[in-house]
Amino acid sequence: MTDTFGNTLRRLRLEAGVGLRELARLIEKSAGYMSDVEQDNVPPPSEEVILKISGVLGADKSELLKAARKVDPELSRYVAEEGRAADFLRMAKEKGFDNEDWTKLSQLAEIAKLGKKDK
Amino acid sequence: MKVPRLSKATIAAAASLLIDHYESAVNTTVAPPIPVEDLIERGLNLRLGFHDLKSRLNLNDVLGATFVEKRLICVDASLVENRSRGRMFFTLAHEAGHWMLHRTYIRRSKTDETAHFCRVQDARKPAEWQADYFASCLLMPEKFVRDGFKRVFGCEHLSLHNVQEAYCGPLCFDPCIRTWPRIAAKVMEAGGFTNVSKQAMIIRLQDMGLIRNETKTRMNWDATLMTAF
Repeated sequence: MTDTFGNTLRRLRLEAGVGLRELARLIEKSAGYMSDVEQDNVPPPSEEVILKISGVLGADKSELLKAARKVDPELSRYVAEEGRAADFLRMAKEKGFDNEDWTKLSQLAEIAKLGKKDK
Repeated sequence: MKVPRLSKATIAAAASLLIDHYESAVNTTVAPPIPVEDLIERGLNLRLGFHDLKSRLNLNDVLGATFVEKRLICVDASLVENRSRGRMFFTLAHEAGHWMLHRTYIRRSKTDETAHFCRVQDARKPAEWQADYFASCLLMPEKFVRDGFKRVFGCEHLSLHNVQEAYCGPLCFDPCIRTWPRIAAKVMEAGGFTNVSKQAMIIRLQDMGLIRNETKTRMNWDATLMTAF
């Protein structure tokens, strides 16, 4: 089970050796707000703020976005621009793909890419 | 909260123990300015909070709080402002003192949250005095204070006399009050104590016997008055 956003953020911050007030200063938020975020007293910040945090901490942005149940804005743009990707996700939602389905699909996607040059 | 009497030596040992524990847990060596926030977060594995405690707790003179069950130490957000930095670090160290010395007694308290709130009006209660002394020892470890003092003033303690007394009588202004902050500033600069207030350093220097206030005996001021400015 995914940990809360506050716990994930605190763990990554301590691993990076950055203080709570220091992080707040670097992302231009108040220390009070950041302590509320870490204690899960308020909803996770916006995607943009999460990306800023991951940059400051040198942490994996996908881990923070996942804990916040938010989508990477880059990915949102991709889905918006690539109609078939949106169709595919819609189908996956309608059919209720589970973990096993996603694992198989990821493998299939890897195979489909074999032999093709990355863009 | 009722707490047992603790000697200064016991409290100083608890502060020293926390620093030792932090040094081995984080594999580092601590020197002033003592990283009190990291000591709390990584040394004691507690959460930190900077909240508007006055509004949240509906107490107009609250400065800090220790929530035992939540493993959370909070200071009032008003202390985060730059002008209160020394006070903020002292309050954090004070709350760490409650955790180290009093958490068992806080757990036994009747409040729902097993929390302890530090209010200005309670400053003279034994638990608050003990936490204050812990904070003083934690932020200004004796060895480093002595080193800093020695670099500026040498090995002998300073005796401060009220030289104006002879001219103005017993009600004159005490020149020591003007001198102490300068002495404190010199020691803070020499020892790297950038996260303590001059007031806290003055009290520490007096407690360690590095400055002796002869005025106090001559003017018959009590100890509380001497630390009240």
